[in-house]
Amino acid sequence: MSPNRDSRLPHFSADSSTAQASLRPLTKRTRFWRRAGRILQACLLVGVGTYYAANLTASWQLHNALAAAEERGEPLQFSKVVPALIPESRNAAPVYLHAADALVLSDAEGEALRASKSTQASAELLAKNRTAIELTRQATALPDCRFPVHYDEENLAGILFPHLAKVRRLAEIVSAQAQAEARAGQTDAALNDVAVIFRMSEHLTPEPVLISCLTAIAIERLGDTTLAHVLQNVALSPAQAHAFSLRLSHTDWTAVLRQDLKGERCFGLWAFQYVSNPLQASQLANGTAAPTNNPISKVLSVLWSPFWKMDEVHYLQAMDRRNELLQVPGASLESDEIFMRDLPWYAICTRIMLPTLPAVGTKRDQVVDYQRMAVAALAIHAYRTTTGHYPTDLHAAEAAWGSALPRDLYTNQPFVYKAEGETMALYSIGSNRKDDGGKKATTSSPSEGEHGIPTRNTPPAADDLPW
Amino acid sequence: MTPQHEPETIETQLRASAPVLPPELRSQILHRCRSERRNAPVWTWYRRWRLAGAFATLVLFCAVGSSQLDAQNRALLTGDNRAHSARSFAIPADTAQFVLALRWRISQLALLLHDKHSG
Repeated sequence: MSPNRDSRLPHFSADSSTAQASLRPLTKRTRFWRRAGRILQACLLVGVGTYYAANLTASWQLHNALAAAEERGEPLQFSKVVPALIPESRNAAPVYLHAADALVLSDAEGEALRASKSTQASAELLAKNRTAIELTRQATALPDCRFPVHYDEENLAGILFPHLAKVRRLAEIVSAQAQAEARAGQTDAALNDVAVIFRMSEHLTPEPVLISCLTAIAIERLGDTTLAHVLQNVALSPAQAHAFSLRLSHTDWTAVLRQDLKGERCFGLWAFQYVSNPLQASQLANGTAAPTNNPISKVLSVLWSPFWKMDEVHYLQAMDRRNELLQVPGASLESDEIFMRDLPWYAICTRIMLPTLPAVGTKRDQVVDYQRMAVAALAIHAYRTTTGHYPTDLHAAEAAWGSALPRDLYTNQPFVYKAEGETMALYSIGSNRKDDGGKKATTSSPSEGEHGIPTRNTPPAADDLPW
Repeated sequence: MTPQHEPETIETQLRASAPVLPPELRSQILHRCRSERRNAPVWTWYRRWRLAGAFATLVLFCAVGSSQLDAQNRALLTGDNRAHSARSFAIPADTAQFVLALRWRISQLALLLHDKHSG
């Protein structure tokens, strides 16, 4: 055995003072720095190990979520939800754009029209927009519609939908025309123009984004309002009422919303690829076309990577939940609100992407309820034309109509109906399921819950949906 | 137990290497060596390198695994399978085998470094 085998043993010299010096106890400062160095090393090692383990776990969970979605046949790329190209001869979009170009409407006139819900349009305004109205009618006669939207943009957040505002303005002028025709006693022309508005709404539904869905819902609601005004001013025979009931909107808004949610999910997944940290996500949400990509942002992206992937997993789960919950019109989204409230702190992008969906669900429920109410309104007005007065209750109108009238979406009971002399009130009791005497909600925006998430859990005090 | 079979202790080593050491210095040395020895079984160089090797293997496994999964996720999200294929081509198809081979290499390196360090 070599005497020097253990290298840890101190080396000695004949000079005992040198040996004593080498064995002098370490000073406090040296001991402190040595210990600090060891702690730092340990923290660094634990940090590196934890980071890589968390990254692997997050990648695995994201992979499982994506693979499950693909297995269910759900699209994961935005290109897969883009509507197919259609032949020019069948496409209503160019005609709508031509009509919008022909529209002669100042901003003030447009505002006044919108504020009065198209009830107060001068004959002069309608006369100078005759071409636009005529072209709009021609457009609605075409079977398909696909506006020239740049769905293939690299930055999906930068896709513009300028046609939505144009179509809405056209709907407002057609609504004004229909009401003017009703006041002039031109029943068929007025009803035709109401049907034109419903058709315009239908033409926007193939677009796979929620903003188009909301615009289409707004246009259909304008159609309902116009129909209500028209019915007040014309005497509708039962035959005309039955014929027009077939021209009412029959859009399946649940199917439209399902398709739009697919588009929104693809957009969300794209956003998770396009940006890679909360800083960039907030910039993208604020409309910055090219989020910061400086070294600090890059380092943050690397360090945040496991959280980002888990955020994406939560986003997919939240979208699946939403999709499931929004399948049933009128269903409560309370469990969804709890889910959103209990999202982990790092799910920042999920919180940025999701809040608008409950509001869309509310709009969808309302428009579905109005679709049903429109049939009841037609039956009531047909009864009035036949008998000279409003029916005392909905059963009388139903008996004269010849078939069962649709029921309130929220209660599955007949709509609330009250007749007083020459006036009548028809309304749904709304999502609070409480009769507020026909008073509608004062604000259309949903109330804000915890973390600023809009919630339907606390509906406004009065939220009836009057016809 | 015969002296030949007596286990080697710090004391026997000290006796062999420095037989004429003053008693108080011997006592100090023994005290210091014993206190260091308490930590010695874990922190031998060889064990340190083995631990570092195991840690590096674990980190490598996680890095390679997450990189593979990220490539597959990207392929799912972009619909472009070339992204995944290109990535797969760069590393062996069997990730586990690749990591085990690396693990063996690191063990060899640990042994080499240990030998070098201990002269």
